Amino acid sequence: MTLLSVSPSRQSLHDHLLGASTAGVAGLVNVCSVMAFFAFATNVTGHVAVFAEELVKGHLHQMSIVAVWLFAFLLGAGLSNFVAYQGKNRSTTLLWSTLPLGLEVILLAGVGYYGTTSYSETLRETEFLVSVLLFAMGIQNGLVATISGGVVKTTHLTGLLTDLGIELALLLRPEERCSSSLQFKLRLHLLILAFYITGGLLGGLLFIRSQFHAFYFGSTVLTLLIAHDLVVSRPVRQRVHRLGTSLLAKSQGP
Amino acid sequence: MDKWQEIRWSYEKLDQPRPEVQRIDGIRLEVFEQRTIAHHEAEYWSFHSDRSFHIALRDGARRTGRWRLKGRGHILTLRYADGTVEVYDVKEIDRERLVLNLDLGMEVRGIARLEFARQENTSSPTHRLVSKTEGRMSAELPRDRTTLALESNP
Repeated sequence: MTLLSVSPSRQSLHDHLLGASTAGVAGLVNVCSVMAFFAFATNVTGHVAVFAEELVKGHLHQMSIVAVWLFAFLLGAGLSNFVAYQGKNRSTTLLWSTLPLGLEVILLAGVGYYGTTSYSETLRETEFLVSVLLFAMGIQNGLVATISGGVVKTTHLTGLLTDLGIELALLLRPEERCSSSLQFKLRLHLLILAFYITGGLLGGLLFIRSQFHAFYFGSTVLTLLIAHDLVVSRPVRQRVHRLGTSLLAKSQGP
Repeated sequence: MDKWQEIRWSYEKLDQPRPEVQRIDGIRLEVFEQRTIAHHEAEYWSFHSDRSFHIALRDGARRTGRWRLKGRGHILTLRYADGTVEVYDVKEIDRERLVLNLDLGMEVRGIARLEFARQENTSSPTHRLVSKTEGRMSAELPRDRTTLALESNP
């Protein structure tokens, strides 16, 4: 069972596991970004509001910075969707889906490494690193949404809380209560919320203890996600099986 | 070096009565119900282009440390030599005036508003610049922007 492949045979468990793991990473990255840079890495709605505020105030520089941040998120989401769809209906679909996540792993680890070794807290560095984080979160959100057919989105909670509110209200109606679709969405959204909060708490604690090393934790979780899929995916399993069979045949002799 | 003179402290959005004020050695202690907030009664705040600062207190003492801008340039952090960190929101900045908001923390809902007036720089004309509209206090910006912090070469 792979979590990252774009496949019509995806099951609800795939979405639950994918949503939980990536929501945890998003929560962690967002809190670490606030603590390190005083800027959110996943709250795009807030950045849009700030963009309008800075525009009204005539603060052109700040407005352009926020515009770059918004564009970085947009670019990340678009790029991951583009790459993931390259693999649709191909035998290498999993590889195409893991590429954007691999890039995100590199970006998060890069922010962690730069922050640990070279960050001198200039404003330009801060603005750039926030852009990198927003790009990474755009990649993640775009990929997860693409893979799950738009069901899972993990980097911001406005839409999720709206959906959750609606779903909880639907639970009050007896004719809707037993709907498997409703129960699936409710479980998924509660799971994403819980893991986002958990990731945020963990990110805060890790950042207080180890500063920029906290970003390595996020990239490690994503690396494990990729590794899981590569290991359990059928081509790898088939190769291992073939190798085992041939070794067995050789050992038994002619 | 440019100086900003502190001209006013005020509190906004308090959900508690006005604080009781005590003064000890040039430090003003404002006692809220749950928390005591100390701030310096400073005459001048000076920001240098090497991103250090000093605050001259009224009793002649000086506090030094390093300043940094965060976020999109709207957050000013002051890290003192003893490791204490203060975080300010840069609300307004122009040639003559600087307004900072100090978050009083979760225990006390409210904002301490600090207003400063820029002191004329009488030293070297080699001013280093900081943006008016962009709220930057960095010395990395081009010359055609309004000065916030001025730094003279030694």
